[in-house]
Amino acid sequence: MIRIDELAGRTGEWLRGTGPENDIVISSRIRLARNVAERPFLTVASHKVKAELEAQIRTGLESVNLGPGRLYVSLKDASPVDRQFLMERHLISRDLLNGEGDRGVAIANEETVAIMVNEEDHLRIQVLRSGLQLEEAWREIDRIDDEIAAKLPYAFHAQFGYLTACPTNAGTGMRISVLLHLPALVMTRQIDKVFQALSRINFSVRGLYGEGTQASGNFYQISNQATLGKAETQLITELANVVPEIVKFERHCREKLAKEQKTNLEDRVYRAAGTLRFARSISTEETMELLSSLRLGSHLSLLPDIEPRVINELFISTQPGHLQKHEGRPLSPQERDLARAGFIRGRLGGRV
Amino acid sequence: MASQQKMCETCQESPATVHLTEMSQQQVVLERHLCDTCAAKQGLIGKMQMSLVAELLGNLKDKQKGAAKEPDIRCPDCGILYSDFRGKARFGCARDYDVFRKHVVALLEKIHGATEHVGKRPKGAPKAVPKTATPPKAAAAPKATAAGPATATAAVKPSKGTEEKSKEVVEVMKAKTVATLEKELEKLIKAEEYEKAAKLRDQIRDMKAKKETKE
Repeated sequence: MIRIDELAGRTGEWLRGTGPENDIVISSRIRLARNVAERPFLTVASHKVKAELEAQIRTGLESVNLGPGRLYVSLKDASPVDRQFLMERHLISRDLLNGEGDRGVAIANEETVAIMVNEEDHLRIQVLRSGLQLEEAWREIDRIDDEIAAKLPYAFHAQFGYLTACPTNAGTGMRISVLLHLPALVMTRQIDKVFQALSRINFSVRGLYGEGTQASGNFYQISNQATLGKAETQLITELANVVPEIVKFERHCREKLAKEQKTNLEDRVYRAAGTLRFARSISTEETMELLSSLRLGSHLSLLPDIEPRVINELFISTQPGHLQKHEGRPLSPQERDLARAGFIRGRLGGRV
Repeated sequence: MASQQKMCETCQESPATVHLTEMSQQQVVLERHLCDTCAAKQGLIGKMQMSLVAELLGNLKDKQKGAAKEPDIRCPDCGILYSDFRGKARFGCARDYDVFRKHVVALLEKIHGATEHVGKRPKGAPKAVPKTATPPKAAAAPKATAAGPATATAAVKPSKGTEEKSKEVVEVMKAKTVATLEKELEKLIKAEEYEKAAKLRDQIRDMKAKKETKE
């Protein structure tokens, strides 16, 4: 068993930027919503029942192989900074962060596996992989799901499938999300076209931190909407088929920018690098914007001295929870802006 | 619009509330004055514009104030009412899927475009049922526990994200209702279920009004 502080000193596998199509596809994620049979859903569960459920599920998970380096965090006991930190790393949802009562998350295998306990459903199982690796993620989550089912019988219905608190998740209980970085589609104003096409074929588009969040840093999450009526593998194939089309379109726009607006593009990238390397105070929003330009420049070979992995990590490690975890104390927003600028200078080798 | 004295020309017993003017090339061919019952029997109401039907039911409702409320459905296990579910778009337990089955099927169809799970099944879980089979019982209907009806009010406070999702689902439900309830209204009128029809008519009107103010 490891501790939460040990996570802060390193990055999850999914952030390394090593997976297929990693210039555009940041990560592939699959989530399964499950409820334990014969227990009320959390919508009506009392504090006593929630406590019982958390204990029952923790015990059940103990004998399930989630991979090496296991950690269980009780959200009820965690500090506000730790909760924020876990959400920024995509290990818990905002709903679990803001929830109340007994609830937690089991994390394992370099943060590629995260199981939320007592979120909207009793279990929310997540497998995260870097780049476009949906089939790999499915194989892993399918195995984990089977192992859990052997310990904790699920609420399952012959016709409706896995029963969830919200009818939008019923059936497979599966949400597949691919996180994409699409700066060139935004700059060339093609992004709306992509969104319209995606919504016509029933995919939803959201920001970096999911529901209701802004698409800061030109990051977009594409997910399936329907969870019932199609097999898991079919849902995965449908998304896996559409992603390469978007990737191709983004690459085409990047090439076009590099060819037709070379000076503009270079100016944008190097100005971003200059600000990030020398700024003394910088907000999260400005950081996301500039890092997005930096990331684009890096993949267009304009910044040979900066590793793509360092840029990927900065998107997460400059978030408020991460900065406070790094500094080891709560910081006011002004203090955070100073700490953020200092942290970025350190990572990008700003010499002044 | 109705002249109080005029009686239904078919039954000669009830006051005429339906007044039809059949036209042929701008010329009045035939004027008819019927009561609701006879008009419905002759299939005339069904052919009319819904606005006219609603108007009709408005008159009816005034006469029949205090009509019995349609009963809400309550899940015996978790204790939530169908109206609770409609408001929050969250089930209280697995059994709700069967207790509110009729509504659930329509809702799932609207959300997912499907009502049958075809994906993985836990080992030993019941096999998929053919569509003609009788509705299956929940594989895992929770028994009444200490967390039953008594704790139904101890709901988890929804965060912002949850609320947004709920709104979406509630919207989906509303969209469904307006579209299909008008058909149901017609059926009720034909079946002479005027009390229920009047209630439904008001419901449709409220929904439309809400939708308009939103837009």
